[in-house]
Amino acid sequence: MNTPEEQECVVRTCRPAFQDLQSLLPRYYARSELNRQLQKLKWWKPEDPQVIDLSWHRIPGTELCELVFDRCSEFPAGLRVVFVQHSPEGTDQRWVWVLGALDLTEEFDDIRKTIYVGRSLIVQERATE
Amino acid sequence: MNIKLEQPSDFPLDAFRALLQASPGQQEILHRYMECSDSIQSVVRLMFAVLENPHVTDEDRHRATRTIADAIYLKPEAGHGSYGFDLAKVEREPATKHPEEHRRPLIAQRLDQLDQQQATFSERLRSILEQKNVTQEELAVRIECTQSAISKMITRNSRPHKKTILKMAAALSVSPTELWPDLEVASILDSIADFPAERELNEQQAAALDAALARPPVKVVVRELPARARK
Repeated sequence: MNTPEEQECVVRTCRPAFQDLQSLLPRYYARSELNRQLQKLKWWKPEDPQVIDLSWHRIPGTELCELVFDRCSEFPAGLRVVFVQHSPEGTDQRWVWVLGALDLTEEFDDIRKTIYVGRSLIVQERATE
Repeated sequence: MNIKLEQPSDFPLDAFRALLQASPGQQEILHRYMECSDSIQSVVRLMFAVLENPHVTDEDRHRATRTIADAIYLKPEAGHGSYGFDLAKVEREPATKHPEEHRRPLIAQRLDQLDQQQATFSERLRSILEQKNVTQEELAVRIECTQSAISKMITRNSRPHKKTILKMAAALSVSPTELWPDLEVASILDSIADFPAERELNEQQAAALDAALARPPVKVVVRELPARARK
């Protein structure tokens, strides 16, 4: 049995995030690679600077976080995947929600903060076990 | 909320007129919006504000629209629980349930490829660590990650990022392809991917391009064939 520190998070994604990824990465080849990488969020811990071998940051002024993918053959423009922790009431496990993705070149400005904070509010209201 | 409906002017006639002029589809959207909680309605209004912002990009417009659609269409995904998708299922399901059947075997093939790549990497890393007498802890220190992360990669629970493979190869003094045989192709693709972003050629590339442009066009020798006799 996993110790509390080793307990894995549940990783879920919302529909608009899924659509963001389809738009940014139209080829299944790249999306399948990203999907494998995102499963590392199972081991995300707020106190660790990395998730396995990926770096992540908090987005200032919000509860949102971003996982950063440098440019590579699968993600030519680089990628920032926005996620948030929200566990439904009555669950012991931590739940991590993928809210969407941006090109690495896109700044996290007020418009984008509004969009992703909006998505996180939907998650907070609708996510149940 | 107290609603006073005593005088004809108390009725929101303009709003009623607008509603009656809406198409059945638009009425359905308004109906669903009215059924949402206050907090979801506020999200929808924020997204409309994004759509009306003159500085919004096309991509952000799409993002806001997707968010509105998610807010007003309460459609739990079959087999995924109450809201959203289970990420692990999202990966596997298209191999058996993709709406376009002819894509299913290609997706299954890609998933096998991902599994196979991880299996090969795991075997090779394990064997190189043994050969070189390097522990997981030592490797973790050398590439600045944790022993637990290395262990998860060795047990195929976690797929290494390409940068990590390069770091490991350098730390273990082996070629990256010894760890990940497909990496050579990937690095070629990387150099192509880098080119448009840098927009500047180095001296060698510029000389090669100049030479190619200076080359005379290829002459195509045309030989006339005798006309075929008409019957």
